[in-house]
Amino acid sequence: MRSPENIPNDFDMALISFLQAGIPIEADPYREISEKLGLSRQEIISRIKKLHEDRIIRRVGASIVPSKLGYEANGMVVCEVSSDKISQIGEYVASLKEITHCYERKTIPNIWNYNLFFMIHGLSRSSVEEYVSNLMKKLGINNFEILFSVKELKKTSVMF
Amino acid sequence: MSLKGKVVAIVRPQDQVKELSDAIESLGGIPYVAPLIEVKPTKDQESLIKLIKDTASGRLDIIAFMSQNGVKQTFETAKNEGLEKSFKGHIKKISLISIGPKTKHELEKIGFSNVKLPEEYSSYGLIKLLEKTDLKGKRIGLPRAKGVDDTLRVSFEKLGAKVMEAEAYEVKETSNISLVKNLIRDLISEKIDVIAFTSPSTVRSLIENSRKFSDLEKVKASLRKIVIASIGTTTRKVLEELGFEVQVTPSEFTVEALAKEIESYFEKINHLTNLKGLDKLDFKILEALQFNFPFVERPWDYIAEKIGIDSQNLLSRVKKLIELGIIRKIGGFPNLKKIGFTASTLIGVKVQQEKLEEITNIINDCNSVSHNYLREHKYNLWFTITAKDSNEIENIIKTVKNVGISDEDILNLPTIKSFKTDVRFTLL
Repeated sequence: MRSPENIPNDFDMALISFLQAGIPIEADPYREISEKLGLSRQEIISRIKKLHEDRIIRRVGASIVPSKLGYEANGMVVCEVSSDKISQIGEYVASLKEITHCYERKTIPNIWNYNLFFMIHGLSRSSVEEYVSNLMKKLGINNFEILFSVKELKKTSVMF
Repeated sequence: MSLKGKVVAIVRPQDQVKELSDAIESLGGIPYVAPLIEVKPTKDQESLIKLIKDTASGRLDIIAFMSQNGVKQTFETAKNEGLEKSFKGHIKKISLISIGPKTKHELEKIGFSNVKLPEEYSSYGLIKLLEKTDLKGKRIGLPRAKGVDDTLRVSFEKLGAKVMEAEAYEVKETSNISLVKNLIRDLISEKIDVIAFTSPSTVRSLIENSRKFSDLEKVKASLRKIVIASIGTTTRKVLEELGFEVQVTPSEFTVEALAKEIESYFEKINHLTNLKGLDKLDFKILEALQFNFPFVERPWDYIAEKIGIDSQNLLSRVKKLIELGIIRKIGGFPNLKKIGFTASTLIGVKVQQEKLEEITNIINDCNSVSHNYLREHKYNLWFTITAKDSNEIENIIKTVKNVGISDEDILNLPTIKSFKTDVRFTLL
């Protein structure tokens, strides 16, 4: 058996595409990809494991649609955090289980001063508003807005 | 009152049952008390007496208490040794740290008010707290349970401290065997809805006693059918290593938070049942699928066993959840940055209603646009671009401008740092 390190990079990309498309909901889900790539199932598994360990694949698992579970209120929170505190506050916000995404972004002086962005899903608009206003108070952030989503126009993975 | 009628097994030592039991009852649940462990002073008190003497003679700078038991036993032993007065006198002059609010309260009852608390009530929290202080050459006393691991000692020593561990008490399997036997019987006959583990020793005791008095595999199978709650991440890890899925772990490691979290688990189940006709099992599946997808040849068999159902049932339920649109997909999410997609930005656009459709079509056609949302704001259209270089981003911006959007109506906000991306959506 070839060691995973020796399998060329094309296999990695093929596996990443396979994983992006979704693992088949079948008892033997790696059958087709194994035949297609000419690798044993065990080789496929160890390669995926390696991709995960190397953080090239950051997560394997289900992607859930919050709105279908009744989490209708989706808010993008934008706030202005001083540059000396942004790392600390960013890490803290990211550690909260209610928050799914958190980024620091460039600002546009005088037009867009918000530099910290994060995403929150709630059962209702008011519960999101309450959560965010408590959080902002706790973090000492005065300048923030919640941009509730009206409609999801596209959500996919970037394909290649 | 979502806990109404739910039987919650409480397995901690008898003298610590009350708070959790009261909390469960106040939320409408039925506490089922079956202590799996008990706490006893260690037979050999030498290390604890040494810690007390060292404190009393001013040779310690900090004492970190890890539990109410640790506090109680330390002061008890000081008293028995006739050292209470000098011990208390000196303890006022040094730093006291407590792992959590209950332990702190125990110290306050004895008259010590200046007790520091970590942000997270765990060993990890304590390390984080002490990292902030200069520990070089500081002498730390650590009265604790016998036989615990040495993570704390090693971490404090790495920070430059000299650590004196003392065995204050030991945790043993309970001697009240009849309650344990009843618990095992009632678990198997499905009379219990939730079991709340409050320490790794409670988990180990249940496993040992099941082996001794029943069929361990049978008990394990029953546990997979009910809701498993753990007070914190250490206990959770022990459970997960044994192959269990843990449904409830509060973010603050206290019994009150644990009771609340159990309630909110059932609240969410009720909510989902009303909404989509989902049941407890679907909920378990959703939780199990989001993280730690097993890297094995037959992952569905593996997950099915872990949840305690057969594979066919799992596959058909997963298919149903996909059909309902609740699961978008089950797959891998690459770190795009690591495979050459290094340019990433968020674009906000001020779009007039009549141009919305045209612009949306243009944007959605771009492969490098992954998310696009209409939001309530003067900048109403927000989309993300992940591309191999910034040229691609500039090209998309140009295309948008060509539709008749002016420069000042487009915000290009490139990512500086990603703190968190698309992590599992917590149902709880």
